[in-house]
Amino acid sequence: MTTLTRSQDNAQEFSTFKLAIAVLAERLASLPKADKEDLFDLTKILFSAECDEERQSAMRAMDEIMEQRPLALVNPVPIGEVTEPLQNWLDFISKRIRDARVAAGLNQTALADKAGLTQSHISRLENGDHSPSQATIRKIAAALGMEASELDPSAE
Amino acid sequence: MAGKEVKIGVRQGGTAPAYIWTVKILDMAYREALGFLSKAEYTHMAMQVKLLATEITPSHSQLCSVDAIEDFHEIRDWGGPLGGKNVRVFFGLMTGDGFKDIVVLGAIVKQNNGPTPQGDKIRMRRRWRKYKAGEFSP
Repeated sequence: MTTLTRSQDNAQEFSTFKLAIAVLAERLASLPKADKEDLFDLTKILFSAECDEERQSAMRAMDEIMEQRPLALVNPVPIGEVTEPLQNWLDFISKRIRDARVAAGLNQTALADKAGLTQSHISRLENGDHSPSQATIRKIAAALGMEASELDPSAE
Repeated sequence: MAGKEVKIGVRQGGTAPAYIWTVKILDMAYREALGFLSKAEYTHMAMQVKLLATEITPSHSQLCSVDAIEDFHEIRDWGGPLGGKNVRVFFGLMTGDGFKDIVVLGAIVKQNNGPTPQGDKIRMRRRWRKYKAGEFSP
């Protein structure tokens, strides 16, 4: 009786896989050629991945290709809003840059020249009008002879 | 009669820079960014993209870290409001008769400062390919 049940389970399992493969084959056949090539590359990446991040990345891409969801643009472009955490950061970094510049005895134009930036950009940063990228923070820190982490402690 | 005094000096105020490029964003890019970025983090990254739109050659930005991946690009940023998150934003540049577009293709958060995973590169390459072929809803 047990043997019979196992056999039935196997038969059920086989037909489930068979159905899954049929669906997969049908979807693969309908993919554009370039997507098929991408999928082929991704399969190789998936099986040779040495870390989970690479594996997950390959699986995300395979999922997106198989789903074939159409692309659309977002209108209008969402630019975000300056909420409290960002305002706190803007207040903090603008003061750090201004204080460090003044301590170095430089005006905005001199700092801009040394950092390879424009005076208007330095001004916008010191006014808290723009949140600087890590690249900009590093340029300013180097121009002031400081470590970037002295301006931005979170960028260790 | 004394002449009117003319003041000469450097204007210290920084005016908002003029935009050279128009920013467009794919719905997939927006949705995935909201999946791992807080409002503050999103706005910080949006500011970087807006700033790129003021540069003549966003692919060689002076203001943020931009690397080429095939025929599109990625912004790499961390620290500040992002803290330890290593964020990558992918974009393509499209120019034509009277238009210059920065098309934001997608975004990921990395576990470290290492190279962008291959799967994500392929995913973005595919989106860019389809966008260039006009396979999108405006």
